[in-house]
Amino acid sequence: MSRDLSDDERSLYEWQLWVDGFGEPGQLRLKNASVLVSRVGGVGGALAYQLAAAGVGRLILAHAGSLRLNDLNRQLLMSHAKVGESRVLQAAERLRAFNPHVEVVPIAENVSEANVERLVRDADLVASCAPLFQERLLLNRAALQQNKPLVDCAMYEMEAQLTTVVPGRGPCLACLYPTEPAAWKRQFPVFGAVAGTIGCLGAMEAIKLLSGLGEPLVGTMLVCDLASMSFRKVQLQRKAACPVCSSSPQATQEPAG
Amino acid sequence: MRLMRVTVYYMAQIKRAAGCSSEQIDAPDGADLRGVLRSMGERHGDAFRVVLLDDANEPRKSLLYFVGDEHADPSRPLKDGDAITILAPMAGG
Ligand SMILES: [Zn+2]
Repeated sequence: MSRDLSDDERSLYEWQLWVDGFGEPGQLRLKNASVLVSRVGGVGGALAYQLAAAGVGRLILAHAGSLRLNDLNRQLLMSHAKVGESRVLQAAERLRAFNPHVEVVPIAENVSEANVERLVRDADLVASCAPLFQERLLLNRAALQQNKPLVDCAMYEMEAQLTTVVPGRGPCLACLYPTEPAAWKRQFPVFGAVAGTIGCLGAMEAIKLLSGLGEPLVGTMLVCDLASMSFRKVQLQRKAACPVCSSSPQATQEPAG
Repeated sequence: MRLMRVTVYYMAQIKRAAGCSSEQIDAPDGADLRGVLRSMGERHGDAFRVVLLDDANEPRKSLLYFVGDEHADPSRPLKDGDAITILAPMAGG
């Protein structure tokens, strides 16, 4: 664990060290933190880029597969010349070049039942940016079991949603989606700027949670419609009988009655 | 019969199915959310109805319903002027 910033880091992060209530203590919290980013596509790529800029010490990137040409309208960590090459390695290379102070751990796997516990174990916070509910719900369960916050960012067409799950406080993703929504398709219409918007907002949630600034979206969903530029917050309810968060360690620790 | 007027806003995939982003509905005074959702199912035809309602004519559990800014169950009573939002789940990354 680092107890100090180097002169180089003080200079690099100077503009955010000026943020009221953040300063060197906040920067050190980011430096000592590890974030798992589930997929570094349109949303997760923008989120990871901002976390690298902010100086989060360790970014674990989980994303399988090779770059396709039609990924490039939104996946900003990729290169046009590297279509057909590993997505996660390109993303790691870009982030390391951008901020060499950040340790980047690329894992060429998508989140699955087989790897989710291990991936979450190495992180202090989970950023859920995969295009499938199955992966999001697996991350939700593992994050609750391991008592770690999860930031869930999603988009569709010109709309986006953001919510934060903090174990023991507020609802989890399984409260909202008790079963995997069947109608959702992996491919969907979207602009890269929508992905970037919600990825940056998700990065801000992560920065706040890690450094202790501001108010995270616990029990609240930010619903964004970029067609009309309307942003609103709706209140979410925890399901008392939720099989995931009502059996998490925090829930069972609460005194009865 | 007295009527009340509520506004329904559609978000994400259900907006496509409805073909509009919002609409106003007149419902009998004292109707609950379930009743309004069922009458909307009848109003738009089968392609929309199957997105909104299940085989038992119940509002789908995979959709999120809000009255104002509050998460609401189908049994939630409505009043004149309420704004209902139906949010289809999204997982785009
Ligand atoms: Zn839950």
